[in-house]
Amino acid sequence: MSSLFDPNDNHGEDRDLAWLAFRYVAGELGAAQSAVFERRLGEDQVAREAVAEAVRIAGTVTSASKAIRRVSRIKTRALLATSACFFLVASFFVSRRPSEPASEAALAVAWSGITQSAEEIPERNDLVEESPFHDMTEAESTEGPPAWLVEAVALPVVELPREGQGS
Amino acid sequence: MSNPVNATEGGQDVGDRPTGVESMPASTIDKEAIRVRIAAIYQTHGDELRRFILGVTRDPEVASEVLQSTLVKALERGQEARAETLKGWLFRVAFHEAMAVRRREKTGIAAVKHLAELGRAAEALPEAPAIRDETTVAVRIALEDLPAAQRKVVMARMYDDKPFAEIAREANVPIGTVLTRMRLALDKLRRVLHGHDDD
Repeated sequence: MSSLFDPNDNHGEDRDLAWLAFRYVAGELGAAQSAVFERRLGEDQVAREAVAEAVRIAGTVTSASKAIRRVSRIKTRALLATSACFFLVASFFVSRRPSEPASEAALAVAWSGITQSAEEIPERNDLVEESPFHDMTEAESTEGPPAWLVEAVALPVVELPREGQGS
Repeated sequence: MSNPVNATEGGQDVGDRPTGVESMPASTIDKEAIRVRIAAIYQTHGDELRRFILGVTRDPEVASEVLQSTLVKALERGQEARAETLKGWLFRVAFHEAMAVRRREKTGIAAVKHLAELGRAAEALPEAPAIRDETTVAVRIALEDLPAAQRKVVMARMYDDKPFAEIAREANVPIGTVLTRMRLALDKLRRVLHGHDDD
């Protein structure tokens, strides 16, 4: 087998033999090639030592690969755990953020938008009486939001206790 | 004290007798000397011998059986070996024992264990833990320093036990490219191992 490397390299034959020994140990040689190599093993101590070295490499690469895969798994799990914690913390703070009280002007704008949308909806006589707003007159709706709503929006925000916690 | 009986080809002296054996018969002295020599060789090259046997048999259980029969043969016939070639002689005996077991059990290439299993068996060989850990760390660093393409091939072949053809298909490259990457990676890993051994 010719060397793939510098022909002036004295270790080319060593590398060729090492490659051949590896392929023999890995079962990559065909039956005929394997038989030829085994005849060489019967006579050539250097070839025998190359086989021993190939097995040694297989063993150490197996150990090293296990370590590499283990570190990779640990890193992946650590990244997932960190992401999950970040998500939980972020969700917690987002859910706790109080809503800003709307100003009366903003409330009026929003109310007018709601009443306009309501005018676009075709009336259903069967629902008018059931609706809690069915007593409202058209005059009341155009004048602005009702007083009870304005008072409710003006109240300070009170954070309610979570479920399961004591008051 | 009579001269020790020459126990090797060409009448080489087996060396100083162990203390307390002056009264033993010559054949016993020979066997004792051979046992000492074999033990010394095994202490120095036992790991390498086990790996070689595993590489030929590719089965940890068969390898253990071969190792035992090799040592028995070595004790029976150790006098046939010259001192300076005892290691090579021992490995040759191991090889012939391995082939005999394979013929007897009709194990061939088809019955070969997969490379990943072989790697795990080699990993489990009783090498000194401290040495093994240091070597593993050195190889791990070398693996991580490999170009990504080479590292993927090495781990896919040697750890995931994927054939080269499958690796080539998944990477969408010719199989020759995969083999070249594997060979280049192997060269680097060998250099690391040799460099580590020299430390």
